Amino acid sequence: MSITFDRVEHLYGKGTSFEKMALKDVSFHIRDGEFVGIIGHTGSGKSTLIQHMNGLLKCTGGNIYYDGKDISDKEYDRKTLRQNVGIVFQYPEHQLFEATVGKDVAFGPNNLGIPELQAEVRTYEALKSVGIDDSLLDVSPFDLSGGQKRRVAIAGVLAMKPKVLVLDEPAAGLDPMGRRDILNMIAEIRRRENITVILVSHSMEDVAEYVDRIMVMNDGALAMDGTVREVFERKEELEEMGLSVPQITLLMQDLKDEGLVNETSIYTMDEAVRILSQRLLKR
Amino acid sequence: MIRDITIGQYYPSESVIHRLDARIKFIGTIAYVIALFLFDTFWGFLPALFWLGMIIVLSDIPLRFIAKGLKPILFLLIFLALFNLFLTPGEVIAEWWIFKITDKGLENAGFMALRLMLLVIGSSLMTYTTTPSQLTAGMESLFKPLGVFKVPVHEVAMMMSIALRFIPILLEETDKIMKAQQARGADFESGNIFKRAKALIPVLVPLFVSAFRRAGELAEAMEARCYHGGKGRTKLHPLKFAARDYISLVLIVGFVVGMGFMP
Repeated sequence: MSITFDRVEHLYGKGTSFEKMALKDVSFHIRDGEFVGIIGHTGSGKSTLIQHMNGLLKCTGGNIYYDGKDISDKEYDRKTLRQNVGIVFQYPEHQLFEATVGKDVAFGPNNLGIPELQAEVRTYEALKSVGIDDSLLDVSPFDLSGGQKRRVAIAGVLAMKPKVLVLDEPAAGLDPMGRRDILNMIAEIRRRENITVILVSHSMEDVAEYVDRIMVMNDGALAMDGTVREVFERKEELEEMGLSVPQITLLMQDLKDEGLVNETSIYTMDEAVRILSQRLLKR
Repeated sequence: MIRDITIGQYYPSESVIHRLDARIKFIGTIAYVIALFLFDTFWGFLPALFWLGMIIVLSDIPLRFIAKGLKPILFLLIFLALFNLFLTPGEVIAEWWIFKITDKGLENAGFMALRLMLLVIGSSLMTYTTTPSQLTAGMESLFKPLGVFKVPVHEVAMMMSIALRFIPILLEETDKIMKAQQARGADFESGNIFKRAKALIPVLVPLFVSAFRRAGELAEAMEARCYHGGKGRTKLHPLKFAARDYISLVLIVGFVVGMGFMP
């Protein structure tokens, strides 16, 4: 299931004094099964961009195609689009409302008109894949811990069986351990379900570890689009946008400048650990 | 849509009306409203129109913005005018089928519509030119004497300013939650009125939860900064009458008396 943006524009508050161009001339193509990271500063248009992917916002210029079909078409079935493209918003735990965890997760499937038994199966599966135990099914979601609430909220979107999963800062506000757990879980779900995942974040570290491709948003425009390597090679440009490469990359660059290692362009902690332990063993 | 409503909004500017003491504007508005009801003849409205025009010119607020504020009451205005037009007994001047227009009806319709418009424009001018915090500070100071009768004036004023401050935050929150639930297939746009009301539950529950959470956080933040009620609390911008405020007070009295003398 591919997503194509063709010269997409979004103008907020047209004709008022609050008029603002939130997206300018954004074009890209995301293929089936890709793991894409979208990074950018606060107010760079990341959130506006993802809300176009399932038709929550309508573009004021350009076209968006899902699987080759124009989604702004009057005939286009928006309900199916929202099932296929699942968006997990920032702090998704704030959307919980039902009396029990099970009912909350089943909200999406029920809206889609899925038979009860099948919706129940989906609820079990979704909760299992986010690592929430069956014993919590009949507990009020408001009695859970922060991390658990977030998992339940993500399960609520997974239960709709999306083919594209978009997550807006899924690790925001969690401790380092919680961050890793959530991101590992997302990578694991992607592997198992074989779905497209779009991860929105402003943390270079998170993005570098998991995704294959990075899109950089700056001031409403798509500033860069390429593999992790291609994007992090343009360090100066990133810094001009107020972004930076992962800290481990900077550290390894310094070590190389000192002649201690030979490798350049190291973006993840695991790689760095591997190289440095080899060095130490050689001595 | 919600953003289109201009009643109760603040229109930022540096005009002399904006700089007036909030208490004066409050007294002026009350006097104006009472005068509109006391002296209810066409002639009595002439000074009111003049007064309003003067304030609009002085306040720097574009007429277009003021006209937009009348939009929400347009329906009420038409309704009121039509009822008065057709249902007032008197000498019939025009007749069609079961509808009769009387001379009294025509007069009443115009009169009621004009009064409602004058009322709405006049009172919204106060909120256009006064920030919510100035407004509550002014009201707190005006109602302070009620403290003698154990009315919690400061507390009510504080609650009012917090409530006003939270309106935009809760609107934004509502928008966010609605989008999150729409992403899970919620439908707010179709079905009959009961279905739509039921569809709002997934929005209202998280909204209440977040409102309570925010209220708790705010209370803690206020306590952390030693808030202990109004007793002994000083203000960053104490209200103080300037020459322009005294002049306005005289003008207000002059306006009310002037209106009383109209035939």
